[in-house]
Amino acid sequence: MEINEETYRLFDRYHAGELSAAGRADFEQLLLSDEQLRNEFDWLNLAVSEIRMNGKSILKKQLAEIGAGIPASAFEKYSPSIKSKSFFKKWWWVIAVAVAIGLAATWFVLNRRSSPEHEGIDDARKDAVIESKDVQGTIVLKDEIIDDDSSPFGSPGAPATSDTISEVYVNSISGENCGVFSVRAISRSPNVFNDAERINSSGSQDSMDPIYYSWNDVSGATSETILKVECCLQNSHPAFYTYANRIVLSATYTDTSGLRFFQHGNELMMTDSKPGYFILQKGSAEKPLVRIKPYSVKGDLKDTVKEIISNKLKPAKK
Amino acid sequence: MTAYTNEQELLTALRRSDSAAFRNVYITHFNMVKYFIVKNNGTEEDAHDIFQEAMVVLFEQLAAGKFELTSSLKTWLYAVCRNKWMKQLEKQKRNVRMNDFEHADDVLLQEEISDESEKLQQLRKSLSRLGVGCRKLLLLFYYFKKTMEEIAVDLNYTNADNAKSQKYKCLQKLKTVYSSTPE
Repeated sequence: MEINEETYRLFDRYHAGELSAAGRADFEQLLLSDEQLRNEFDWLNLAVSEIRMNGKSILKKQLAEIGAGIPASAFEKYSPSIKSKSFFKKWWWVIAVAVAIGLAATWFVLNRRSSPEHEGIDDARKDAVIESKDVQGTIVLKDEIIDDDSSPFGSPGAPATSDTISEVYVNSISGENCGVFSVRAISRSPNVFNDAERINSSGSQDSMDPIYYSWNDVSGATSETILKVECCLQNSHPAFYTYANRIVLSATYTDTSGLRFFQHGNELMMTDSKPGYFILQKGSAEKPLVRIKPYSVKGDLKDTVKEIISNKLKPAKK
Repeated sequence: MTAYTNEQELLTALRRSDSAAFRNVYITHFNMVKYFIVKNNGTEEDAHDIFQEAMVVLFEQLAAGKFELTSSLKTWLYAVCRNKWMKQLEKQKRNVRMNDFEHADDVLLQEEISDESEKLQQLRKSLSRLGVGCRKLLLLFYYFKKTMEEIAVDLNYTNADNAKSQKYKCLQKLKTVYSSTPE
């Protein structure tokens, strides 16, 4: 095949994909059979390849000149979006963490300060307790309630010893040992525990296990415990102050010693015969005890109280 | 900076290898690429190189009619620059590792490619010896993918056919220079 301008136009059309399928096949067949044509085609391909390389370097050079000719201030105008993105990326986590810490701290503070959730309780003694004038009066009222057959405590279904309370939680502080006791079947006889189970404690023991005091009911262990508490108070024992504003104890045993005890605490917690318990808070001189509404209990009473106590009595870090 | 009403208009201008369009893209998107490369062990100079390479790819795809913008130009440029920079970093890592080995294989490889590169070297020399007019015509047709009509206008030929004939003559001239250029 003679090589001329037409041949080159054919090459260009082949490269540009302008040939039909048949035309393309014919051309490729021709390339195989005609060595001169093939050589010419190969040369053109090589030349085009170099021309393109050359074109690429020319374009890159032009682009480099364009880039170099742009003042830095022109780029700056288009920086903010990137900067703000980087700012966002960099500070987003800081802000998120700060917000999370803030929320956690707020929740923690509110959780510590807030009253328990009040869901009401069917409690006939509500007014009597609220209107108590002092701790001693409350105890008297409570005793009256126990004797009252219409009260949940004095109902016919109550334990045979109708003068017992099904469960009372006592916070006992002995030496360095602070324990919360679940006391069952408490006799109305002063200062007697018939059964006690420590459900929460912290600190180390110094002399005697509080349970020991609890079990030794007949020997006036409660008095000893309270005395020990008083000792803690007098010595400004750190363990005591960890709990001081959240003291939980049984009003049943707050005689004169207990009264002093309570003067240093803010809360007096008493269980109810129904699932639940209520809290008496120290009020004003005229109204030393203010009852705040009870927690309602779902499921096992002891577990719930344990949970509540463990939250409320969490030792503070020194 | 020349303003374009939309990206399609900008792309059309880029296809024409309009330097104002390249400048526009450079100003608008370079900082984004620079930010990425500098943050990833590169320098501003690396950023310019990568950005220019991406612009070359953009132009070549536009010229070949293969460019399809499925997202924004900014996204496209970012993706291309990112890939190019990652490849370069990988290449640099490989080079560092390769330095620990003997280069015996390189010699063999070098021999295999030397024949092809010699021809290209020779062609490069031939191209540089070609007249400016011919070189420009060939570049406009084969690299910048201009039509013969556009070339006729750009290079002041009377018409497209005239430009076509001129192109053939230029190729023949290149071939002659190539044949006479010592290896």
